[in-house]
Amino acid sequence: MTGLVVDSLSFARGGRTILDGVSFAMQAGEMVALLGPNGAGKTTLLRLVLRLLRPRSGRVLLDGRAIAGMTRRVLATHLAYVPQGHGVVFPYRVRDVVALGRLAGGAMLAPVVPAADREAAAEAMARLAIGHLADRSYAALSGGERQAVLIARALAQGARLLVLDEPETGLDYGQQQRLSGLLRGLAGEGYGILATTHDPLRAARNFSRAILMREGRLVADGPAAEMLSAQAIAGLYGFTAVSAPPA
Amino acid sequence: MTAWRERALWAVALGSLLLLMVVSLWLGRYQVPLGDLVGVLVGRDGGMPEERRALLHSIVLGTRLPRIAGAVVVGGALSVSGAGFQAVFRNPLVSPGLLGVLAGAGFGAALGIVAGASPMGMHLLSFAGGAVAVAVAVGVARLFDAASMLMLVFSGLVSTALFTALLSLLKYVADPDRQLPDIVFWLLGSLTQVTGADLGMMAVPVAIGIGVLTLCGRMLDALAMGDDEARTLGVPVGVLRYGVIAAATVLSAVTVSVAGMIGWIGLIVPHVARLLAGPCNARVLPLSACLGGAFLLVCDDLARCVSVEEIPVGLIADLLGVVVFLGVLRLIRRGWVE
Repeated sequence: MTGLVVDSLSFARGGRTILDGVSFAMQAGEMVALLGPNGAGKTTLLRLVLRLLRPRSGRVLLDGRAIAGMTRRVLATHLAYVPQGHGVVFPYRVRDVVALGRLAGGAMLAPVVPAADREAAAEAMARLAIGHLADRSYAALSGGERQAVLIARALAQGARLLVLDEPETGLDYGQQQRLSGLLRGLAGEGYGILATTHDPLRAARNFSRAILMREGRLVADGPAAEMLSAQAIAGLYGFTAVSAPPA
Repeated sequence: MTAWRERALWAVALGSLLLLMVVSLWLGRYQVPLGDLVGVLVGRDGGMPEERRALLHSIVLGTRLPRIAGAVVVGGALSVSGAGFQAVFRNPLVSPGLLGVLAGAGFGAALGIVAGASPMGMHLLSFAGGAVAVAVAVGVARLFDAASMLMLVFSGLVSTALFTALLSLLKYVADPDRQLPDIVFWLLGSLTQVTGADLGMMAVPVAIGIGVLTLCGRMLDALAMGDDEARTLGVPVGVLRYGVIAAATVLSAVTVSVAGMIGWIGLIVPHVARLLAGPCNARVLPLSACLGGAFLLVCDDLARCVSVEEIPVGLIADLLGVVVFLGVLRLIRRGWVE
């Protein structure tokens, strides 16, 4: 079981505090949505959890171990990152991209992709029903297909905690529904899901828990359906709710 | 690519290179009958008169073979170096000279000529010049913003400009009758001076450089996704980037120290390799070595056979490179893999 502990994390850049004493803990099987207006520090928090930034103070623990002391490779076997579907200059095939998830767990210096890694990649692609894309060029895929490929890569990585950066960006309604179903299924299997999102309604419906952030601070943390009342959302994003929520 | 196609590709690539080398041994001003050539190569030349045997050995093994091997090693090393730089900078337009290695090595060689260094001294000065130029580029980049790749590209421009200026200064002060022509010819690039000793000196660093880069192939594929993503996939990005830059710099600097300035095949050949084998670096890097060797060998054959006066091979490589690159661009436009 993978448990993530974020312990009074602060971050500053150029004298400006971007994250100020954020703490929370999450267990395997939890689906945590990270919400807040632009500039609230959501992405900074994700990057600190992934150790892509160094905190000014505070620490991040995985299974009780500080990530600051882990090698990249060990960290990658615990924690997988699903970025927004992006372009790549060189025309890698989908199966090559997914197999990169196996780097950390396998032979980094192998001149060819080992057979076991190819199988693990095929399994992950089957899991996301993208087996038919295996030989397509990743660069030629649509946004939704790229997202699926990057999630398959995260599964191939073998990490039990997935960190997603605004996963529904650029997806159409159907794709968003499928993504939500997939993430719920993974959480049911014991994966921990931590995702930033801009969609409170979707978060309320699909995530088990919501963390609300504003101006670098954690302002609320609790069950998603309760946290994301119309009033709370209006308060968080700084607008007046048009109609009062039903009592 | 299926395993079968991959094996076929390697068989054709290596087979063509070998065939090309044998044909190149046969080509030349002095006509060596094919039977005699094979006899010399496989050691079945006992039946020849002693005088003719010595002559053939001197031409085929003493003169042509080092030059042919030199073309293959230099072409291969430059192409792998270019492929490595392209992978590290995630940019298919990058050539081995990006961080100043060619300018620096050219300056080192010119310094050797002006200072009247021995051939060995020239090799070392040239190699050192290339390494120093890249160290300057990396140092300037780290001074300002170590994490920025754009900064590294800019500091590469700075380093290239610096060593190009220093080279011009050397040309200006060089003796116009004795030294200046030497510098100019060196910069055109030539394989006429390559000796067996040079090959021995190049072999180890080139083999290590190609081997190291090929082993890093899969990590370089991860790097193509971006630095942050590569890190979360478990790749030590900083070590990888500077390690690959170091290996690619050694490969380029060695070629300049032996053969002068033969730059831009390092940009073109990796594109051809990608067209044939897809973008995965573990295949692109060794295939670039093979194709680059073959390409420079063809250029050198043209350089010594087209006219009675030898044409500098760097010049031919540039011209032929233009033709090949136009073909590559046409194919890329139609799509790379599918």
